[in-house]
This record gives sequence, structure tokens and C-alpha cells, in this order.
Amino acid sequence: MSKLRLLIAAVLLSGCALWVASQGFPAAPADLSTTPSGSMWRALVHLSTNAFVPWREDPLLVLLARLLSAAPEQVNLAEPTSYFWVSGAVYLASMLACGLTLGLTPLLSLLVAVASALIILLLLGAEQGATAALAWWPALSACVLASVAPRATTHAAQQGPLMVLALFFAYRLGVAGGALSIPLASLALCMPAMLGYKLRTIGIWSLVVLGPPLVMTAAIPPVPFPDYPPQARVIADDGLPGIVRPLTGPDLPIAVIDRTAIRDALVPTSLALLLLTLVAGWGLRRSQRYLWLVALSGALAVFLDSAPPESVALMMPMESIRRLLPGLYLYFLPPLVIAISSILLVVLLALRNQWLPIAGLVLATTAVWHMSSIDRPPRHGILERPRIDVVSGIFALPLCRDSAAASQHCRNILASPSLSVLGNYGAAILRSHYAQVERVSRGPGRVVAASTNQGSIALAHDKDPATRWSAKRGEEHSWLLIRKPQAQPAIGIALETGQYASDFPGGLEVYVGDSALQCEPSEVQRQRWNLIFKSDDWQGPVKLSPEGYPFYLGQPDVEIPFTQPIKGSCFLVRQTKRRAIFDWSVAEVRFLFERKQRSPTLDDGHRQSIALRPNPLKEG
Amino acid sequence: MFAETAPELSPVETKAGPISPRLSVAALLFSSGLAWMLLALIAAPLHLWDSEGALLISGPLSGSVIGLLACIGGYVRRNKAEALLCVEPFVLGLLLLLCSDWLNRSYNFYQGPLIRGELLVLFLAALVMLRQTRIRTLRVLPIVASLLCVYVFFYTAKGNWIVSDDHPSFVYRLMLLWRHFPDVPIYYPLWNAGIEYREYFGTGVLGPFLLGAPLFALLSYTDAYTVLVALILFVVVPTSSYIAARVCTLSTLSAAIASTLALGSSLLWYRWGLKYGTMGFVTAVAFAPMVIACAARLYAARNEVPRLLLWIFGVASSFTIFWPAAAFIILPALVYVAMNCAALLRMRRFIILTLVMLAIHLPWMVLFWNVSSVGSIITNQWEQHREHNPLLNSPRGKVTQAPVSVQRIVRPLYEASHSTNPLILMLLVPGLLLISRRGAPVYAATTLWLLFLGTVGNTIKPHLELDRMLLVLAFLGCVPVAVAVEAVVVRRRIVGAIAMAAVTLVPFATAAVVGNRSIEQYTFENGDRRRMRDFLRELETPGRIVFSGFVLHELNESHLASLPIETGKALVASTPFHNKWRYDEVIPAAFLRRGSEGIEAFLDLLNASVVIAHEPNWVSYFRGAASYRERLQIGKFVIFDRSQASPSYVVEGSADIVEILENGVRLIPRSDSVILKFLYHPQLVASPCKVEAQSYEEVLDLVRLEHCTPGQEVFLKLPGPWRRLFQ
Repeated sequence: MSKLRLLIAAVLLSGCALWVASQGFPAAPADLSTTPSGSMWRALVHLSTNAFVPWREDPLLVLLARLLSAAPEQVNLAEPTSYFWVSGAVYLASMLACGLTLGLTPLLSLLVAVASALIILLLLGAEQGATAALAWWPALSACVLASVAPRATTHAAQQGPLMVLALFFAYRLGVAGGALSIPLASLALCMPAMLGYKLRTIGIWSLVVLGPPLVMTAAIPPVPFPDYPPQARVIADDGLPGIVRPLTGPDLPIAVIDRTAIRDALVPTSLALLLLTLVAGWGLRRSQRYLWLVALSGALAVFLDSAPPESVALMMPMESIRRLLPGLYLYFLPPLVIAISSILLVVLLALRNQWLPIAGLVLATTAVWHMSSIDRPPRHGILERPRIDVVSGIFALPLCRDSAAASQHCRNILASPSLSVLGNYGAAILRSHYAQVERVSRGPGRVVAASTNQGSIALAHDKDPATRWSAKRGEEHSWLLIRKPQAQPAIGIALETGQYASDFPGGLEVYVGDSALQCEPSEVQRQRWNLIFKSDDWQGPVKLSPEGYPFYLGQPDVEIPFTQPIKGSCFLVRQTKRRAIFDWSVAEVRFLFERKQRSPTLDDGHRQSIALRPNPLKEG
Repeated sequence: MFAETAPELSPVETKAGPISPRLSVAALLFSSGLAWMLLALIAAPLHLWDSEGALLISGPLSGSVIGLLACIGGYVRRNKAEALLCVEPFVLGLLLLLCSDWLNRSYNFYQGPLIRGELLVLFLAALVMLRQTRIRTLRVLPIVASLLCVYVFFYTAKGNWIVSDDHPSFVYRLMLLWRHFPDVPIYYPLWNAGIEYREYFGTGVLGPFLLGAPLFALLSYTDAYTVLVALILFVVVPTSSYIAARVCTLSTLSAAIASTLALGSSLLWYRWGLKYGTMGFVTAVAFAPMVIACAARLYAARNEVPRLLLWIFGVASSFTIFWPAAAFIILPALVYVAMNCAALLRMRRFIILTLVMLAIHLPWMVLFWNVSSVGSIITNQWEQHREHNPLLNSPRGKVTQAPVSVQRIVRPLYEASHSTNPLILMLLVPGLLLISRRGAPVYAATTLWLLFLGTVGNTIKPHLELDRMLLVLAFLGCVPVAVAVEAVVVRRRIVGAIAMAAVTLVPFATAAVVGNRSIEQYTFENGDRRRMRDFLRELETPGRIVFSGFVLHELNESHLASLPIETGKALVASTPFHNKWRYDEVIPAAFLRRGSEGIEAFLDLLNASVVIAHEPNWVSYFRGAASYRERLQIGKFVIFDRSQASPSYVVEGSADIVEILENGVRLIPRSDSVILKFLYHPQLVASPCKVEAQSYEEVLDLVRLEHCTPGQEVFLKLPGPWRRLFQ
């Protein structure tokens, strides 16, 4: 009977693995990393969360990857996938060893290793830093467990070699995992306690296991952060005053991780894991209680991190630990914590010989991954729809994959905290005249008609910032028909909020009319308009820093950039998203004109190479 | 170690003392009332969670009345066999404080509101730890805390040296001491045409100097100084509190808690230590806990005290009084020691210690009294000159004193309480009662004395900046508070976990302050300052370099003091230090009144060959003047070459300047009377010449050498310390 269950589990797992493989496994994201000169450290940006983390390759894994791929050249950029697969192979081997140390049968150990590897793959994607850190973690745990586990020889004479081995794995974990290595090493140190054993020489073991990760974390250099001007933002406004800062470790001058984009997606995943863990706790043996509690705590922590409002979530354990431990502030932890909790759950189920639930867990993870992947609207702009996206967590898509065409400068801009801005506005923003022009002149526009409050449209061009036109209760689909009196091509339009700074629109679309259009209210027909700007969630106008990194200015500055100068004279502006309790007010309408060209930050070749967004005008 | 006369006690062993180990209704009521009064005094008005939350305490008066009523209730219900105080309500008061809008106010040590998350995590960890009876693990906390702070400090430094505010002044003082000790005071001709270097008396630089001497021998002075700052703030401070707790015969756990708390007693501690760079004050206060603890033991001593205790007392009190104002801090402790002098003077070791201390400290104290106008500083009567000369750095007039009122007395207490670690605020009272059982009323007396100085004293003598004493009080309070924390941690799991969470948060909160993530920002050397230093170092110029206008913090938020040490050039500025509190033009008014001709005359009298301007009016003046050529701009500082007819350090007569040293000027007069472009000081000697003053515009007194032997080298300098001592 047990063999049958094992067979069913193996079949299920193989099915999951094949299905994931059939979806097409993407290339690893090292293409998006930027290397500061003279440093082995690189900054890696994560597509889903915009997390911007320092990362370096484990030389041992690189060596193994070279041996396996028989490639003489460097692995880091040429063959990032082989590095990832080697990390996976090391993980499988070390998890197998860990299972054997725990007293599992070889077959069951293999099942645990494969199942947990699949879960990691689904949750973390091809993120090399986290997977390489996780690769060494089971091996380290196995060493610590071997000193206390019942099947291991715990003779004092064998503690020494075990410690040496643990020191080696702790060092590898420190090298590959960076700041993640401290919590992982701590977890490895706690493994005996989780399984009801007691480490006799806890002091020495603490030094052996935690020492190398601590030293390695201390050696992490400051992230090569672009120089943004004050008040710049690169992610959506979280609605909270000020920015969160860590108590220790590297700090970033502006908020980088886009939590709002991913928080909602984590609620069902964490809830499902929470329920599964609760069910798995049924009939638990006393010795396995702490292992179950840790797995449960992980799921609960992720749930508390994602379910409550942001102001409360920031005080929850996950965010607090992120601020407490050096280096963790740079990471978005929930996918990693879910992965670890799932691994612990798999181990727990394996210890109880419950093979089918293991397969079920992997199946459930695959299903959640699949559900989160389908029907997700692709990000407009340069970013293709990520194959492994939100719930799957950390995964950066290679944008400068064509390394022959894309220069280091392109790589630097894409592999920067500005990736989120590029995701919203597209690479076209890098070519936008508005964003590049140092001095912008302004000319008045004339509001011809409006969807509501027709009587007050004159207030939007009376040159008095204290008077305004406003949409009726800021309602969605309000529109303004605006005429440009000047013949000069406009590079943008400003819908100034004047004294009503909080009344900016939630989302916007801007259209330009055909040249034949007379700009009459009767002509507001969608078919005759060309979309030239679209923002589903208005975050402010996008500007380029002196080095060419795009960023948002404040939301009340409603200045809409055009990707190229527009000659047309009739414009239609529509609000596409309403903001609760706030109006949409326009105190003055002005057109923006180019006054002086600033020296370009990206040369033309680079711009061509990242021309990833079609011009909406041409599309129209 | 110190238990020869008093056995080590743990708070759980307290029997029917002032703190009740059992939670009786009377004790709860009385203690809650007291805690409520404390909350009302330091935090009212108090709202739950944030300023929009429910009002908990409307004002100090109403809150105090409620607290007083509770106290009276508890007192009425008291059982004479039981103590009237227990620690738990104070910890719950701490919890209330952490869950109130108080945590969100500016200058809070625990910077809310998000810090509540960290507290929650640490509370859960503490709960697990207390459940697992792993409480002894806490003993490693001060080491972890210290290492974390050191790491964060050097991580923030990024290889640069700390220059915030007064730090360069300290480097200047330390380097001169390193090169010329013990031949101080000296005449330092590289600043302002010659100043008397005697600041090591008042600024307490002797303490850091003695601690840092090995570092100065091994490292470059900037590296050595940065290491010294870290050593004092993150090693000496916790070690001192640890030793103090052990001297008080507290357990190693209490000592570890005290040591950890010492690292995070207050946010303002780091304002003085890191931002202002008052290392003399910080060093003196760092050693004060040991003095208080030793005094407590000496006060109770009846027989011969341990030799180690006397050693600690001698060393700690020496380092403390190297900053003379620290005498205020340890005064009650010394009074208590004196009260037991009958018993102490029967001890041979104590007599030897007293004699050694007198031999070491009396000479410099007398010299300090002689060369510094100590009396005038205390009475706020400053020396008035005929006409103000900025180069002499003599502040004019008194610090204005507002009328004394209750509001003005309480205000510093209210302000200081915001930046103080709330654990210390809430547990100081029970801690004092606990520690007093060990025969140490010294702590209570010192607390009351510092409270008096910080409030009433500060109001009466505002120029003495006695509000700092509240900072010292928070720091010295770490030892008694540690006793209270241990008492509650070993007895109550939940309440103990709250206190433990607050303690374990200290390293992280301190790391945030040290990492420049608080409202108190300090600076390390930046590119502009480095460029300025390198430029001046490589500059070849025959005369002095004058900073026009008034430079205070304009260069890298720091003073200019150490620039001559770093560059070897003679500089002139309105002030190299932070001893002026308003704009003070470097060129005296008497010269300025003469317009352009007066300005040039003054610069000629100083032998200025390079001028550095940063104020727009001075920049435009020099740009418009024919004798100036713009050379370079570094940040807001514009550097001009100044052409002189005959660049020389001699005004009248004839002399060859052989060498301008750090402690004087070597020259060979070629005439029997020479007027030099060096500032006159009444104590100057230049044997065999006679040194007199040559006044210009009745404000600038230059050195005039009379009756010189032409051709014979003379050394213009200040007389040696021994000669000045007996003058």
C-alpha cells in the first residue's frame, strides 16, 4: 500500500515537473544585473517587486557550472541558466543528505528533495541569489542534525569533522546567500531544537554556523544606487508619510520595493499554506511540534505581512525582521519565507510518512502558480509578461538579453530601481522629449468642452490657480476637450492642480485628434482619436536623472509627457480611474514646449536597442 | 571579584525591602499611581497609539492628581509586613508609553511608530527565551550590541574620518597634546597669528588623549581619532556600566543589562558624542558610573576595601575630573565618601590613593585655575576688551538670563525625557529603591542632585549648559534600572518579556542612531573638505591663508580647527572652534570702518597671501578688487590669491623668520626692535628680547620685540607649565 502511495506521489510530482517544463523555463535573470567596477558584487533587480539587491556568484557553483556545461568562458552572463541548474542540483543533493540524516529512507529523501525543489522553482523562479543560498542550507542543516540525530554517531570525536564540514557549508551559504544567509543559518542552527533534540555545545555550534554568514554579510558593499534628486519616487505611492528605513545594514535613499503590486497576490497563497500547515498539525508527535510551529509561523508571518493595511503590515513580524537584520531590508521576503515554510512542511510530512500530502502540496503550489499566471494582463511597455510572475515571486526578466546590442549603460538603467517606472511607462520614456528637456516652456491651452461642469471650464484657463474646473465628484470617465492655440509642437500637457494639490487624477488617457478635427464638443468620438498617453495609476510625471534614470515627480504635478513632439491642436484628456474622496480638479491647462535640449544620457544606439515599446501614435 | 565585603545579590532574593516580590493590591495601587504620575509628568497629554487616538492623560496636573489618589489608596490599604512598591506597574506604564503617541514624537530614542513592530518581534523572542529559561543568554547582549554599533559606525564612515562639528577641534587638541605633552599650554602661531593653546583644561581632552595615546602611536591621526570615538562610545561606555554594576555587587545578568542600556540611554547622548563631538564630556561621563558605584562601596566600607576597587575608583575618578565640570556630577558621591572619611582614613590603601590622586591632579588643577578665568565662567562675568577683536576669541557680554519660572524649570526635564530611553524613564524609580538596599544611597542622592542641576541649576545658570546633567542622569540610571529589569524578568514571564524586549531593542535602536538614521545627523569627511585639505596642503604661499567673514559649520558641518594640523599652513579665521554663537566678522570693526583701505591694511598686518571667501558679499568684493585673483572654487568656498607689495612677517624693523613651529616662532632679529605679524600675549617670552604689545587701531595687538641682540636667534613662545604654575 505504501509503495502504491509512493508511486502515485512520484507520478504526480513528475507530472508537475513536466508541466512546469512545458510552460517553458526562462533564462536566468543575470542579464539584468549590473556590476560595479572592481567588485565581484552585482546589483540584481527583481521584476515583480522591483527589489534591488546586491548579489554575487558562489565561485564553487560557477566552477561546477563550467564543468557541467564544458564552457570555457565565464558563466555569469553567458550561461546564467547553468549556474541556476547547478544550484538546483546542489540543493537536491544536500536535501537528500538532510533527509538521510533525519532517518528517512533514500526513496523518501529523494521525494522530499524533488518536491521541495519544485516548490522553490515555482515560488522563486530562476532567482539565482535565493536559490544558491537555499542550495547550501539543507547541507548545513544536515551537519548540525548529524551531531544530534539518532542515526548519526554522536561520538565526541566525530563532532570535530562535522563542525569542519558545517563551517565549509556555512561559508558557502555566506558567499552565495549574502544577507539571506543569516536567517538561513539561524534556521539551520535551530533544526535540532525543532525536532526535539538538544545541541550540547550550542556556543561552539553557533560560532561555526553563524560566524561565516555574519562575516560575509558585514562584507556586503553598499548597493551602487543611482543618484536621484530629492522627492523622486520609483514605485507607486503607498499612501503613508515618509519612507521606511532599516535599523541596521544597508539603507536606500528612496523606497524601492513595490509592495502594493504583490501584497494582494500573496494573501491566498499564505492562507492556503496556513490551512495546510494547520491540517498537517493534526495528530502531531511532541518531538515534531516545534518544526510544525516554525512552518506555521512562516505562513502566518506572510499572511500578516500581506493581509492587513500597509500601515499595520509594516509593524508585522516579517517587515520588522527585515528592518532588524542587516541586509534583509533590500529583499522582499514573503516568497522566500513561503518556500522555507513549505520545505519544512514537506519534511514534517515525510517524517510522518505522508507521501501523498507532499505531492498534494506541490500540486497545490503548481495550481496556484498557474492560476496566478493566467488572465493576468501583460504589463504594457517594455516588459513582456513574465512567465513566472507575481505569486511565483522573485524573477527578473532579461531585457538586455541581446548583449551584443545592449551596452553596459542600457544594462545599468534597466537593472536599476527605475525598472518599475519603465514597466509602467515603457522604454519610450527614455526617448521622451519632455523627460529629457532641461527647460520646458509653457503656453496656455484652452478648454473647449468638458464631460461635466461645463459652466466652469473657463476657470481652467483663466490664469488664476485659485479657480478650477473639477469633475463631478471626481467621477471616472470625466473628460476635457482642449485646444492648443500655438503652432509649435507640444512635448507634453500640464493639467495644473493649482491650490487643489490633492485633486490629481487617479488614471489618465490623453488622445490627440486628427488634423481635420475642428475641436468641437460634438467630435468627442473615440474612433477619431489617437491615444498618445495612458496611465492606469497616475504616479506623477516621469523625469530622467542626470545619469538617465527615470523617476516620478510628485503626483500633484500633473504633467503628461508625450513620447515625441505633437503637432496636433486638439486633445482629449480622460480620467480612467477615480480616487476615493478626492475630486479631479484642473486649475490651469498649459502645453509644454521644448526650450533647450539637454545633452543626451543614452546615445542613439542605446535607445534603438531598447526600443521595446511601439509608438502609440504609429499604432493609431 | 568585588564580593569581599558584600555578597552578590539577585533581585529575587530581596526580602521585605522597599520592593514587593508579591503583587499585593496595596502595592499594585501605590505603584500604579506612581507610574501614572510619572507618565503624566513626562508625557502628558498622552493619546493612545497616535495623536488621533483616545486621550489617556489630558495634562500633567490632572494626571498627577489621579496618580496621587491611587497612591493614597494604596497607602491606606497597605499591610505593614509588605513593601508598598512593585516593579510590574512601571513596566506596564512603559507598555502604555510605547503604545501611545509619545513614541511618535520627534527626538524619541525609539523612533516610532514602526518600531512597535520590532518590539513585538523581540517580545515574542523574549517570551520564547523566558519559557526556555535561556535568560542567561542575555549576558552576551552587551558584546553583541557593542560589536553591532562598532560595525555600523565604520560602515557609515565608509573609510572617512568623523568631522561633525567639534570633532576637528578635538583632533587639533589631541594632536597638539600628543606632540607637546606635558609642555602645555603653548603659543600656537599657525592659528590666527598666534593663539594660546590651553583648551585641554576646560574641554576635558586629557581623558581622550590618555585613552587614545596608543592609537596615535600606531595609526594616522584621523584613523586613530575615529577609532578612539568608537572606542569611547561603544566600548568604554558599556564596559564602565558593567564594571559599575559589578562593583555594586549586582549579578552578571544585571551588569549585562546595565551595560546594554548604557549604549542606548538617550538619543541626546549621541548628539553630544557623535554630532557635537564633545569627547571630553563624553569620556568624563563614561567613567562616572564607576565613580558612583565605587563611592557607594566606599561609603559603606568599614574595613579595608579591595585593592581593585580602589584602583577602579582612582582611575575612573581621574578620567571623570579631567573634564572639570564633571565635578558637578560626582559631587554627591564624593560627599558621601567624605562622610565615611573616619573609617576610610584608617585604611592605608585609601590614604595612598588619596595622596597619589592629589599628586596627579593638583598641579594641573592649579594651572587650570590660573590660566582660565574659572571664576568668571561660573559667575558669567566675561572679560571686556577695549574694542572687540575676533581673533582673540573672547565672547562679549553675558548670556542673557530669562526670569526663573516653574515652566522654565520643568521644560528641560520634559524635553530630555522625550529623547531618553523609556525603559530608563519608567524603571529608574523602582531601580533606585532596589539598588539602595545595597547600602548605596549615593545613587539616590546623585539622581536628585542631577535632577536639581538639570532643572533649577540650568534655569539659574543657563550659560553652564547644565541641562546636560539630565542626559548624565539617564546614563547613570542604567545601573539601577538594570536591577529593576532583572527583578521583573526573573519573576514574571509576560511583563518580564516586555522589559526584555525593550532591552534587546537597544542595540538596534542605537545602531539606527549611529547609522545616521535618526533626527540627529552627524557627518564624516566629504569630498569638499578633502579637496580643501589637499589644496591647502599642496599650496605654496609666502603668507597666511585668511577665511573671510565668519566660518562656523560651512565646511562639511565642521569647524576649521584641525586644518593647520592637516595642512601645516598658517590660517586665520573668525574662529576655528565653536566658541561664538553669533556672526562675528574676522576683520575687526575698526578696520572695516576704514573701508577697502582698512581691509587691506588688516590683511597686510596678518601677512595674508591667500583669501578664502564663502559669503556672497565677500566673494564679490574679492572678485572686484584688483589685487585678488580667483584661483579655485571648492563647494561654496572661493579661493583667491592676494598680491602684496612685500610679503613678510615683519611690520617694522628687521628679522629673519627661521621657523614657525607649533609651539612658537624661531627668528633672528636684525635690529634691536622688531614688530612681528604675530599676536601678542602677556605671557610670551623671547629671551633675551623683551616682548611688548604694539597696538593697531586699539584692537590688534602685535608682538614687539625690544632690546634684542641683532643676529642672535630668539624663540618666541610661552613659558613652561611649571613656571606658569608658580607665577
